[in-house]
Amino acid sequence: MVGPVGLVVFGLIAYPLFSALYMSLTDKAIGAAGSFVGLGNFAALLRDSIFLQALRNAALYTIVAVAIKAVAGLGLAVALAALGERAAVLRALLLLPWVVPVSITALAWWWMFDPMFSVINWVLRAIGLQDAGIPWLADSTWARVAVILVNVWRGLPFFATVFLAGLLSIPREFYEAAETDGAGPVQSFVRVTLPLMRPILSLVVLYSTVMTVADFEIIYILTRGGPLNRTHLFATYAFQVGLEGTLIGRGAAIVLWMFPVLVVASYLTLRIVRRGEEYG
Amino acid sequence: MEQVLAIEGERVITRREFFKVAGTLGAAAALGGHSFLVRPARAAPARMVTMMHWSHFVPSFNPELERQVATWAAQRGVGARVDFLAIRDIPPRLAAEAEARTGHDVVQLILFDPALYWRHLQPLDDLALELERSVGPWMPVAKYVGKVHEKWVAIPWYHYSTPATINTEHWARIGMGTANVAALDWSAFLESARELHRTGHPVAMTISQTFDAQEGTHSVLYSFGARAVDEKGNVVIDSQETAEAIEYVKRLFPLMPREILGWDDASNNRYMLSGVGSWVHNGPSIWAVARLQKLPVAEKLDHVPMPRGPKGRFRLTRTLSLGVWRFSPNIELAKDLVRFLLRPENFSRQVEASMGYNQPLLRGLSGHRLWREERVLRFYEPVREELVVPGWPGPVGEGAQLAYTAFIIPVMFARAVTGELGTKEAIRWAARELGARYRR
Repeated sequence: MVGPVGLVVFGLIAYPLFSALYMSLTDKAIGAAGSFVGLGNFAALLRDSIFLQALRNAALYTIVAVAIKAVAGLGLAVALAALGERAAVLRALLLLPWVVPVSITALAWWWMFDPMFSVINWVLRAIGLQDAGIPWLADSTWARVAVILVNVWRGLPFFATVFLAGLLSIPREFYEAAETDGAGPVQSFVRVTLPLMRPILSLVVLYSTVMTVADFEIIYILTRGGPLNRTHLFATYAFQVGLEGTLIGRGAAIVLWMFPVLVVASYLTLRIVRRGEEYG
Repeated sequence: MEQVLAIEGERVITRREFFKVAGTLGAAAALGGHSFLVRPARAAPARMVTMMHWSHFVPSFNPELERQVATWAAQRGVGARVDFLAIRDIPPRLAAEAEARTGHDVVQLILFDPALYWRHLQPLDDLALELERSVGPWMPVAKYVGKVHEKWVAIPWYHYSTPATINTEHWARIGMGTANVAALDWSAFLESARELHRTGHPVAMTISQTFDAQEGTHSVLYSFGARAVDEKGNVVIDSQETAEAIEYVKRLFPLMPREILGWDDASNNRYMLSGVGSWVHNGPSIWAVARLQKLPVAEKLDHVPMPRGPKGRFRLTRTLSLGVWRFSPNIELAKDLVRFLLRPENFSRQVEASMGYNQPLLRGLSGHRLWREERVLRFYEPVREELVVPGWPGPVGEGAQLAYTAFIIPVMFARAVTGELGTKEAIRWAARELGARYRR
């Protein structure tokens, strides 16, 4: 049993990872043999203004999107839990954005943000809120808002569904005991719900951090990293440099800048999971 | 689209080869978190020649290409197929095939791809010379993209250039006929743009991170006498000419829709098809779609050269070449297919199927009756302006490709026109970015 599992782990995880790691230490271009350059690619990236921009973009994109998903997801889960069985249809509908392939939904959003045919702008104009329309993908600030909005829209159902499962697993007796001690709804939420939900909250936030920082499709379809490189993330810039630009070694180095974030997130996730096992 | 690998007879894959290919593709998948893995090879039952081509803007071209390839295959007694890919899928597919050393026999190579993949491409000097003797000579831009280290590594097949597409009705309202618009220089164009803006039908030039933006911005840049790099690849963007080009676009920018900063390659098409736009830089695909879909705007569309600048009039283009992988098991058959596709009678049918969109890179293939008889194509082909590609006159290859895919020139213009940077700062930023890419 250990043999096949080891082979799968080595073949599908370890080998590609170490191969990418090695590639990032070479000046390899597609179709040409590369030579070892040590940390040359990483150093060059620190002088690359587009990469530094992508680094800032990734931090902003990840922090804002994950924070909104966590807060809104928790709020949504609490609301759904309060509605109970009456929200069964809503719960099913909620999952739609998450189960539809991201490339399809991103294309739908792209159409909704279209400068000329944006249905969002049409609605804003119709209700008299915005005469000129919002330059969704033409202005760097609005473009950031747009890509974060789509990421949140897509990720929110996952957060809400997992949080809802967590909420429903909290025994009613805890709330009854809190109520007996004179706690109101807010105090119950702060003193009972949040502490008991902490492991699942942390797990989902860490998982989402990994997925959000590595996002590709939403950016690639909506903005291709523009305008003014303000929406480039690691993956889109790596694609541009590594595959379109054929510098596969440099492209691997761009992606590996994510590595520390991923390692920390993975370590913390494993710790939380282990703690859960210990408690269990 | 399914890929069928052309494998002659049986070929045993060694363990070393297996791990090399699997590892490379796995790493590539890990790199982008994006699935572009080549499907596992399947042995074809008979000799099969495969070709990779983009899914053409003008849909009627694809069946004609398939028909020609099938005709060729029947004549040679072999199997053949064309895989049509979305244009965005071509770079990762080429990369995967070059790394895995397996894939299609004939591949479509856009712009600088021949120079990027020359190590894996079969030299085609014999075929290039043969074609030059029979239907030549080659145009300068064909030699520029097809030859690497003085050897032909790909056969330039066709190009599609970027003149301006205009709505004649809007221009007529300000008293300008097509001939007048065709004769404009950038200075007079600015005055017309002001009037068109007042009528609610602004001109629009894409200044975003999309490939159409490369053509428009480079056309302005070149016509003001500026260049990004010289013939040796030295960065020469920091010049008075570049500053003048930027200052000009800064004056033009308020007369255009602000959305041009976020446009993609299809946005200018939609802008004209909606009937709002009066001028965009784009090939005849807008007109072709309008005509195929029988849209009323089709009758109002026409094409004119890009305006003249103080240092000339430039037409930017995208070249499509055909390459044969060195590792193809069907090199001679693949070369024969390329030769077949460039026969005058076949090229002529390709021009018709593309509604005149495909332009020749061999002089002997020019002069098709369609370009003479179709009124709206009279300024499209033959090209009277200087025909160049982004990065010209610098060396083709890695630096040109990196500057092209990073959109350095369009972003330089965007940063200046939005006021994010002053003209000089925007130029200095571009000089640094170009330097980092050409010096590598």
